Amino acid sequence: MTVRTAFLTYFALIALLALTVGPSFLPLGLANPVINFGIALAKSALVAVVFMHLGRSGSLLRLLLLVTAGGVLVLFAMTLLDALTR
Amino acid sequence: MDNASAFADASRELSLWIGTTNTFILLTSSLAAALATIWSRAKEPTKARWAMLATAALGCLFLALKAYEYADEFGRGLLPVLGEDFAYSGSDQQHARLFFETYLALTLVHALRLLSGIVIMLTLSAAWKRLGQPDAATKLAALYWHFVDIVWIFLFPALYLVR
Repeated sequence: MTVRTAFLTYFALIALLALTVGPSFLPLGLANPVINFGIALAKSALVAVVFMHLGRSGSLLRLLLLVTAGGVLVLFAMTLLDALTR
Repeated sequence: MDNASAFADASRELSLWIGTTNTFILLTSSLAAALATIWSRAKEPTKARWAMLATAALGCLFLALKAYEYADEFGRGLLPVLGEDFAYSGSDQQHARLFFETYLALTLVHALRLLSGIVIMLTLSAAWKRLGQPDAATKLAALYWHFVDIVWIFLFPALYLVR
């Protein structure tokens, strides 16, 4: 990571922040949460890949992250299943 | 009224401006932490230490704004703490209270994480010369800081943008 990439990543993060706050004023129904969490995912991916050096890490670390993310998804899915099937 | 719209109504009581400004501050602090990593690896200790101090200062600014927001919400009787009456004016008191309890727990734990991040940044910056490998320590501190940032990136839409 160079100073240049750090600043470019930062500007992208700020642009994404503006993109997520703007549409929250519009009544888009189900699209609102999809946009919000899609952008949150994009922002966290930028931070993880560039700022946290995930882009230049070994495959073992990436696999570990993938498995952890999968585990978190299962926990979220089980919580949502309860709410959605009542 | 269902839970979803009760949560959305309660979420509107939060200050979107403070939430957005705080997200901006925290993203900027992550840039400062990233710069600290770069400069410590490049053996530029003065720049790296200033970047760490900037990171900690932005973290303090975040906490100050958060405290102001808490004080405002407490003043309006929205925070269910200290045995205070819950003075929410919306229609679904029970679920709104659940929202504010969740909000308080999530943001308070996040504030504690941020506070420990600030202490780590200040300590490393002050004890720089006594650190064996300041670049390795800085990298770890920055990794922790970015993690706290990522948590907020998800808390922000989950709490402030439900409208």
